[in-house]
Amino acid sequence: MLVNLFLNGEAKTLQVEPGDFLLDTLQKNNVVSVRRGCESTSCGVCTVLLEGKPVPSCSLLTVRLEGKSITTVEGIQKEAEKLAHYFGLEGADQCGFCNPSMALTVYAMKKELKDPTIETIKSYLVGNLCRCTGYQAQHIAILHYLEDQS
Amino acid sequence: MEIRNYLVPKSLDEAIMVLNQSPDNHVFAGGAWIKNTLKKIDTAIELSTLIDSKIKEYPNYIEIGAMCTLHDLEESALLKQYFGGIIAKASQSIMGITVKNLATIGGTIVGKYSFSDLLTALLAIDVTLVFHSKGKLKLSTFLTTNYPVKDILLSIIIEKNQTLGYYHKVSRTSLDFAIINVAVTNNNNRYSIVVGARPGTAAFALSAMNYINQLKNITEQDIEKTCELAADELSFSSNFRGTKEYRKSLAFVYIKRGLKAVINHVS
Amino acid sequence: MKAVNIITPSIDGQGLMMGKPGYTNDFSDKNSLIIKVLRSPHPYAKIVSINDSEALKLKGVECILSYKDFDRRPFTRAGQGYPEPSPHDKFVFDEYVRYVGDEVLCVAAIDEVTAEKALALIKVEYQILESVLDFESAMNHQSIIHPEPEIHEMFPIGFEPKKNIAASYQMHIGNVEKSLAQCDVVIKESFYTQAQAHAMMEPHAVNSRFDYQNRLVLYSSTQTPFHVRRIISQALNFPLSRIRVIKPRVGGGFGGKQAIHGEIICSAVTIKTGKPAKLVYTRKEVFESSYSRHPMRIDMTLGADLEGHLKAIDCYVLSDTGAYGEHALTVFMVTGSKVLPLYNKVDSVRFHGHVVYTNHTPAGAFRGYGAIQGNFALESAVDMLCEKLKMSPIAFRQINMIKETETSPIFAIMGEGTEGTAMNMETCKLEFCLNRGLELINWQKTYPRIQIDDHTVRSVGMAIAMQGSGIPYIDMGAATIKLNDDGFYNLLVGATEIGQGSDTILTQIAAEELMTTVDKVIVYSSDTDLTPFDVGAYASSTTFVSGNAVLKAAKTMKSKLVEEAANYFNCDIILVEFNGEVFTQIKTKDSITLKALSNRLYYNHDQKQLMVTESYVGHKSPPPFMAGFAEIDLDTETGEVKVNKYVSVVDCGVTINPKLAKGQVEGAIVQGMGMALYEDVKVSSQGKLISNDFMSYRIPSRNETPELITEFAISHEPSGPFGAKSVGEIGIDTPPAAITNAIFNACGVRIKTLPATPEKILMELRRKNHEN
Repeated sequence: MLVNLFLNGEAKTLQVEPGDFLLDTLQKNNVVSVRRGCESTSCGVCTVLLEGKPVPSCSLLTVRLEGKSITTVEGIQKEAEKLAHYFGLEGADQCGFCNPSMALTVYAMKKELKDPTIETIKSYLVGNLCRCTGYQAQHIAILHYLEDQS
Repeated sequence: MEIRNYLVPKSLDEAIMVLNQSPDNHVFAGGAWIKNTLKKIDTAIELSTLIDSKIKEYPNYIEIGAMCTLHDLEESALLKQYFGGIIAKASQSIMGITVKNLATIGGTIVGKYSFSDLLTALLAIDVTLVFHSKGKLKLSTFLTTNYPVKDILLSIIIEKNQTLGYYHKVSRTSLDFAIINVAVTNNNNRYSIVVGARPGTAAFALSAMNYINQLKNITEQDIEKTCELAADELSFSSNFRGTKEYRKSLAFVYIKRGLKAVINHVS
Repeated sequence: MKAVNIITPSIDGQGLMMGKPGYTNDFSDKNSLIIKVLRSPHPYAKIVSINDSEALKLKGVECILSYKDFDRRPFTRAGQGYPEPSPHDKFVFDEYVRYVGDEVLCVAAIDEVTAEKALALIKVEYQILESVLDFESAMNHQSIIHPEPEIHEMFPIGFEPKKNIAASYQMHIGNVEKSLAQCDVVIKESFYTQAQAHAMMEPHAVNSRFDYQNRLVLYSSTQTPFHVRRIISQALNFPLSRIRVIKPRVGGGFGGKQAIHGEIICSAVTIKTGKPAKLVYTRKEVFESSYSRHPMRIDMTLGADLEGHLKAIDCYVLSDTGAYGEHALTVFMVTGSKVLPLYNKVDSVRFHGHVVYTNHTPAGAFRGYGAIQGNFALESAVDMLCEKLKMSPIAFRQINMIKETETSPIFAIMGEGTEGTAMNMETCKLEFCLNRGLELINWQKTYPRIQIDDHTVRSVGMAIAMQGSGIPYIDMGAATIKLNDDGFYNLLVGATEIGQGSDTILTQIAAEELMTTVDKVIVYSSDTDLTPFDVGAYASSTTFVSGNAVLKAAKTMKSKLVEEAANYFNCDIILVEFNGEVFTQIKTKDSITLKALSNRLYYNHDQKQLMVTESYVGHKSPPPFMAGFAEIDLDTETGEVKVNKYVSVVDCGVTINPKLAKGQVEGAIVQGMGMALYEDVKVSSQGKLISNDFMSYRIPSRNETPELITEFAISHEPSGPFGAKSVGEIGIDTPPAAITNAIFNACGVRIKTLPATPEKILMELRRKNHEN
């Protein structure tokens, strides 16, 4: 069946099966930045924004997205670049496999929360696992990113 | 995932009709959990277009649309004001934000999940469920009854009152499922004690509640006795997250801490 | 210094954050056949029959490969240098399956749905054999896990498959029994460590195709592309010269991608069908069917005199390598060789043990590589000894631990599967690390415990650790530097960036020596056709071994540049000065920029390509050292432990990139905390791994991460590039012992079996209170 949705602001009509998950649909349509880390909504790697809210694309049926707006990191390149700058200064970007999903979640958090602290950053991002960094450098980098109003 | 048809029903009546046509037809609320629970679906019935997702305040009660996400629950300033904020706290203790942006209160209730954190908090204040066909039902009744005909949950109604609440989840890491979760409330000196993930769907510790609710003054010994009664009457069992014995010990400790938190005066 | 030891953002972080293609699966051919592997439901069985006729009829199924399609040619997937110190005990597919999750056969189909359908249609009949699931009774068990005659060791490693022994070893210095008999205080304790999972975020992935020269080209999520190429060639009897392995960006490894996973199967499908193919592990496959850390029992006996001088160490290790013997010997040896030299003043040491086969998921390389297991046992035992001596564990360590300029005879005796290499500690700032850590954790105030409220106790615990920097005389790394027009360089390295930042720090090393900036050095890593050899990312070797190779190459390039400038000036090379940008003839004050010289060499005069390659193999393995300190809050009514703070003071020589070095330490600390507290491995009585996804196997999340305080000792290792030693593994070693020591200090419960779950703590606490 056909689904009409907006991918990073661009209207798309996608041919899908009712059982297709968004992650697979995106990969079939050459969006490589949304990657699979697990199959059970428990790692955060496949995060995309649905109407601005971070959701796990591995568990979201594409047929349900008629008329909806989906954002991947390609839709927030400037913000991702800025966050990467602060990650770089803290040495917070190691393997980078989850970093596009991190950028999306941080971006959503910035829109949603006022003046996040380290504690609120932790609880907002807790579903984004990272096995490389030990997390602390990321939190410092994210705070610096949020302070940067430019 | 194998799904034969996807249906956006025009009305709740249509949705209920299709839902009851086959055991392989399912309604979709948030859908966060389908991957882990269902393998093959004949018709997936969309609910998001028919059911409200808002939290609304009325003079005497709060009504939560069944499609309200767990993230909206945890962020709700209104819910934080009532019952010691246990609904928000229970929601906070669940997995990560991406899942909570999908998962709904309705899906959580109807799934009767044995590991549920939210059910424990909701049962402690015994919320009222509004179903399309069955009408109003207490959560306690719903959890302990098997219904042969599938129905659709529309909203959850919570009476506003001065209930004090305590909620605690014990888990290996904060993202994990509970080894046990406990909610204790005090509604004008009527106490409720609920323990979930024993592992088993949230349940009242009824004899413990009867015992403590008869008392005029509550002493330290009464609290101990209440905790013992609760730990003895509830069924606990072992799985890889914890043994029966450990769960029982945790229930005792956290019911005690819960009671101490909500009792105004221990004599 | 201009490029090293200063904060430099990683060179690739921005592109990866922005979602640019970089990982193996991003480069798979769009028309790839999808490979799915049928895996054993039994811990040990013989395949009686395979009926795949229905599956083969399915439209879109391209091929099904099982043991019948391959010659019997044993090899090891370990991903080590050649000849490997691991037994050759694996076949591509075998008639026997040896653990739940072992490979039975594979299906290649046009898409995933078809491949899954085909798997469901295949009927396999098994003869179930008696499985060995208790590693302590595996040795000489009546059920032999590897009865096949073709398997063999490459050189003596104590391989006795008929006894279910994959490897064994023993050594001694002095007479341990005699020393122990003379000791005033002796403790003998057994410790158990679990089969920790690497849990890197990117699942194992590989894809393959034939290129236009009819060569087999693979992208692989591997730490060892050159070993992968060699092992594919061996296993499939396919010419090495026709294989190209490209390692793109890897999404975390931690040792889990040192060995071969799907590469052979994927290659076999492409060779069989001529078509591109890909195999990406599901998360369940990553848990069940890749490999884990070696679970061990470590029997540690320590003896001391009343003044607190450690006199003797006797260490017996029983290690469970699971169904296959990858890294069996070497991980077990490191349990001794990178742990026991910490206390180098003993009269006698004995280290011995066995590595046994069982019907568990195989074990293999994992950051820490035996040292974390040994450290948990030794550093717990030291605290237990101090308890018996009524002595401060700090004072004990200050007396007994290894110090700068000292050595240990163990270095010369024990290597990794071979003899070791004698060395003195030219840098060892352990004393500083210990003392600085005491300050940072506020030891005096908290030790042993403070009562916070009626059920919360705050306490501290600590441990010291060492690791290595590559394997001397074995690990070789090479680097090529090429000069381009416009005066920038290419740096080609076989060293494998897997997220640890090696591309960045190797670029920094080259830039420093070439007196330029990192943007003028374009690094490319790990492509067996394009880059020089490197053993790969393991054994904490990249900074030290590959870094030294890069430094050598940069030095050689610099002298070539000076030669060319001298040609241009028509003078002797001693008259040429170079500052990274400009060459000056010191007498005539003539000058030419690097840019002009390189353009001239490309296009105008005496044209040539300047390109140099240098190799480095270590003649020693200078250990990094650290002291780790945990502050915890323990709930005495529930056994719950919260780590508030973890202090790490590390001597890894000069940090090439201070922030990335810190990232290595902090990431490893949290991984070590996972092993200490959360990562519980559950196996059913039928041998099935129950903790096989991120919902049942819990790695630390942000909420478990304590305040991490990480400092580096001022240290300059003369043999390292710009004074650096390694830093990749050292961070993981201390948390198990430091945290369980803190638990003991909080409540008197000694946890000897990891992980230290709240339940274990509470049950022990009850037992203890009951006894009193």
